[in-house]
Amino acid sequence: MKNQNTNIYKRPKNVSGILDLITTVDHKKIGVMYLYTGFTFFLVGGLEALLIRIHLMQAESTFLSAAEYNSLFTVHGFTMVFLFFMAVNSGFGNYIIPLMIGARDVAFPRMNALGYWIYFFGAIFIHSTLFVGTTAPPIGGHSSQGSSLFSIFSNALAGGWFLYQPNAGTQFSPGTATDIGVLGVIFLGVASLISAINLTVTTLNLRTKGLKLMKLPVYVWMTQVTSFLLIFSLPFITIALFTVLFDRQLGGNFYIASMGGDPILWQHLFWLFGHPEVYILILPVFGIMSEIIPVFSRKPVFGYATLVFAGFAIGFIGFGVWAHHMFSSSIPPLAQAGFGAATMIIAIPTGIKIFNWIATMWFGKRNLNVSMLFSISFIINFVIGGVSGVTHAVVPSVWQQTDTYYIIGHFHYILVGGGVFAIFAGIYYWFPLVFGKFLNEKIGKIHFWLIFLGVHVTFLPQHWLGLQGMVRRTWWYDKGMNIEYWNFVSSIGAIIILLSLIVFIFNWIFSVRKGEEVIFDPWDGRTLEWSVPLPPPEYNFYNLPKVSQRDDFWYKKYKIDENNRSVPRTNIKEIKNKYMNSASLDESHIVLPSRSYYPFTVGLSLPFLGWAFIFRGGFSSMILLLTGVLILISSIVGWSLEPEYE
Amino acid sequence: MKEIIHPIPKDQTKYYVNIAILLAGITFFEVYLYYTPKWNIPILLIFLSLIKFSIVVGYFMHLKYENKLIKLFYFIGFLLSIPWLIILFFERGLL
Amino acid sequence: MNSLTHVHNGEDVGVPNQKLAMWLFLSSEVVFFAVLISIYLFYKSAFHSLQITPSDIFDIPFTSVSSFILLMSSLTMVLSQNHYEREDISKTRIWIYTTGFLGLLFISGQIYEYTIFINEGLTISSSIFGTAFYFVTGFHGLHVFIGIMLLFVTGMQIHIEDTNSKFGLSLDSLALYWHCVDIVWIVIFTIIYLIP
Repeated sequence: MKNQNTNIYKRPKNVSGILDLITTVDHKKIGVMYLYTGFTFFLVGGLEALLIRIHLMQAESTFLSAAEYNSLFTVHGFTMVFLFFMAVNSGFGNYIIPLMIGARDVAFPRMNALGYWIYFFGAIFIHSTLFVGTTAPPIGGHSSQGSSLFSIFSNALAGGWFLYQPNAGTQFSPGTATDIGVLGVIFLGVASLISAINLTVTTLNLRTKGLKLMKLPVYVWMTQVTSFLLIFSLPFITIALFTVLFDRQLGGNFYIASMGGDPILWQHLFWLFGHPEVYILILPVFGIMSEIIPVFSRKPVFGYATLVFAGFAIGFIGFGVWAHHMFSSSIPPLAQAGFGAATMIIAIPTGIKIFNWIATMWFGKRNLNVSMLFSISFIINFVIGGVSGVTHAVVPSVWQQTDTYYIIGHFHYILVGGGVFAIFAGIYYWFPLVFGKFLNEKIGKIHFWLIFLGVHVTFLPQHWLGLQGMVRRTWWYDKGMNIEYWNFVSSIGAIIILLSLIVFIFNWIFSVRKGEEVIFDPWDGRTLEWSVPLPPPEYNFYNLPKVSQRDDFWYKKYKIDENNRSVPRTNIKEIKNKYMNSASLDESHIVLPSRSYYPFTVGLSLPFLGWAFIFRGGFSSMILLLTGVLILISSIVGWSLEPEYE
Repeated sequence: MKEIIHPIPKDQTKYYVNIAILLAGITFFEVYLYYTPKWNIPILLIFLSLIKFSIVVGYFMHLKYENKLIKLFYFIGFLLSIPWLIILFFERGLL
Repeated sequence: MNSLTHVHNGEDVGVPNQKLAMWLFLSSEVVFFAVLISIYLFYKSAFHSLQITPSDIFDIPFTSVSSFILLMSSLTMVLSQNHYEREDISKTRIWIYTTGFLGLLFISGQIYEYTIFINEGLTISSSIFGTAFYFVTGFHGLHVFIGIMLLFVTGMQIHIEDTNSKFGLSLDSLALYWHCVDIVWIVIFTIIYLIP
């Protein structure tokens, strides 16, 4: 624009390769980067889980040392919740939402990139604990005598992903590993807050003409509820983590009972974030289901308004059920009754959604491809997990089940059988959108049946183990306790899941290279993201679409006859050609946000600042601090003097 | 978004200074209450600080003239903290 | 031109993007500070039995003056905004720097207060009161510090970009942030300092 000279540093233009990824502000590229990074951490977390299962395959196992085992289940939780699940949800949201609402990009493209890079460097920071962190082996119990193959993991934090106090305080978890983990999660929280605000503003302000709020696709609504949950629940975890840092690093007394501290406070703070977090993970997944099931049933989604309001109800009640994670930690009886009741009530909106999806499939022209198979088994798994979830509303029953494998079985049915299945459904559904190619259906079916089998074989026996009294997070169980058999079966299931993932990765590589190509609207879609040529051009829509009703793209292709059936319009070919041919037209009227280095450099400065804080004192920490501060300040100056659009 | 041509707003220095004087007066009154043992009542002090709070939010931050949606977002935050405080106090046996 | 709203021709909620984002952030900040203060209140019932109690150590006249300074910085901020709307750039700049200066004054007052408290034996690790007190006021101070940095960055932007309206909305957002920091102090001052 006019003031070229206001840029202090040179602005990146026409770059390629790795610089392209570093400087991009395109929501689609950032979305794909989120997905790849998130999936990488899925594999990391999965391998950690596999090591745990191999260790538990037989009684009195010494495959892992106790220290390694503690670190592995902690890091497994951190990785799966914060680094895999939230990243993949952000990835889908970033990629799909601007396309669904007919926008060219998100509201703040550079902030979007910033969110990704903070997430990325936060993840690196957390994993730096493997190399620079220190922790002590667990006090008491069996001495470590296992192999040193995975000993790198004994440098990682070991207090459980919930970091209960005072167990994760300096007395029981000395060393720097916990501090690195805590600070890393604070970084990730900042990243989530940025992307939540960004997506909210995008959804509210950048909708295309005619797309009123109640005409939005359900997926957009569900990510919207998620964004609100993030905005209002992240402060709790941020403060909670800072209290821990205060105690551990600056000598605070928040959780030191002898100084008047109260560890229960930590549990309240953590679970007031932790429970909405469960819905933060699962609500976007509900949205994905509400997109896929109508398309492959060739019916509009059943009860649109109830789906949306059930989402809001879940989000709202989700803030009032946190103490059901704490029934065994001496909260007053009246509170127990209240939270138990709220926990039962929250099953109602969830049930509404389940019945909506079933009613959508009812009498639909179902197309049982891989995506739909994953969706249907999502419903099955989610109902199983949900029913065992409702049992947690019954306080005396929870006293029996708490801290057993029953809980593990329950939430893995929700998060793996539900969440991961829905994510796979979404990947099979939107893969043609991203790459312009189909994922192979035949290999996909092998993948589906393997993972379906694997999940049930792994997690169903864990319910029984839990009811028999097997404690969770246990490194050791004696022979002859009658739990070896189901532990063995469960571990076999984990290996089946591993096999299915290998099949999936093979399918991915195979399809990216040699997949069947598609240039437009592969599934006969209903929402706006299918009205662009595949893969979408950088500016998404040549002409921003005008919308007059829900599922507008469908009704451009089909009309409703007197029997209430969809009939293709006579000129359907012309309509499709009109959308497709826009790719070769003149693009000069389209204004896109310009590339920038600063989101990357701001993210880059954070690990330096974190290390400087944790390893403070000494020359090297001064250098780290100086590096971090220099990068941060120069990026802020550059950022503030660089216009978003040029 | 429609292009709206704003007339140049008038100088509101006096208006804002008056509001600030009011705020300073309430602050002074609060400190006065602190030194008067008879009137040093928590509820009264909290009420006064809430008045100050609403004046700053309403006039300095222009929330009074703002979109309904923004008011909603802002007050959800408050709504959330009320049950939170109740539960916390319950926990300490203060209620 | 500078933001998507200029090319945007569809549905919106009638609030500019940047302002909406700032308000969403502030909604998050409200929860943040509510939780912060609630932690202080949570531990407050135990303070009276400590060696150093709040009423022993607080210097109310001093803190009242620094509260007053922060309150006045809100006034200068809103004046700067008003002058900006009237396109009086030089006065805008003066009021922005005044605001930053008042903020610095507040921060130095807080640092002075901290040194006195530490000399009297109230540190983060000395008691639960010290932990909670430094935690709450420290986080507020951090927010003031970030605000001051943003004020000076914005002042710098105005230096470079004299008449272009490019930074108009970021001044509005900055003002919102600054007022938010101020209202948090209003509550902290009452709840931590004044209530016995």
